[in-house]
Amino acid sequence: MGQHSGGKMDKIVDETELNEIMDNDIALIKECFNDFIIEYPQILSDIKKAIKSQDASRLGTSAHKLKGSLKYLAAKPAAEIASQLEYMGKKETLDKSQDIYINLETECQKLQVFMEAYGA
Amino acid sequence: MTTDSNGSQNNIPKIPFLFVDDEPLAHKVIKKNLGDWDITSAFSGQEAIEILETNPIQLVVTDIGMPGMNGIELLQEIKKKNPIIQVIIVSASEDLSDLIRTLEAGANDFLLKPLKKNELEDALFNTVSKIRRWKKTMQKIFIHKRNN
Repeated sequence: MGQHSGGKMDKIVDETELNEIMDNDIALIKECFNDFIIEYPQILSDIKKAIKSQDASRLGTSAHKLKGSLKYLAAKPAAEIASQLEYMGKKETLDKSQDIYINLETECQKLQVFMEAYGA
Repeated sequence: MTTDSNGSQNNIPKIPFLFVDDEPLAHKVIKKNLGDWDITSAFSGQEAIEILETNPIQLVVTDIGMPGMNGIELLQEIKKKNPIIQVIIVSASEDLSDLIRTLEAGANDFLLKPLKKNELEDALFNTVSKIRRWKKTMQKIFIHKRNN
């Protein structure tokens, strides 16, 4: 979970893992960060709409898509939150999804700041 | 199996493979990291089936969690149509039941997301090695049958 105190999970991006995934290719990292900054608002918007309309299937699909990107970017706390929403979608238990969505939105905003500071 | 400092393995060729994932970023990373492999991309299970129907590909790397036909359904469909094709499954979930289900369905290997270059290359080389060994065995059987 992204709420642990201390340890690797508190890092917005685990840079060691990111470098391993991207084979230390800085240009590739920046390109992927750029893609993410462009694409994530639309996916967040899909998740928000799915929660508003209580569409569990759509929530599961959209959260899964976002989680996939976040895992490749080694953005572990955000990926964990997206995973929680995906699970809620699959299990059709959306009771706390709005609160979790707010956490996800906040984490993605922090992630964007991190990416822009990185040079994306 | 060990890799040398370049991440390649002696005497094992890099054969073309099909990479299946609905996540575009995964394709971008794989194509950059494994630039010296011949990689065909599919973004859904259905697209993968269509590609396999018209291309002589013997190796598939597929994500499990895809909308529509998921990775396990794709694996089952491949094994039904052409059991010689080898499939490496990739999953973002650490659910042990996924691993068991994929092995039962005939997957050759199972890797966790996000894919890392060395892990994927190891799995690819292992699978290519297996395919080559099978081909040699089949040739021996064919020659033996022809001569008897």
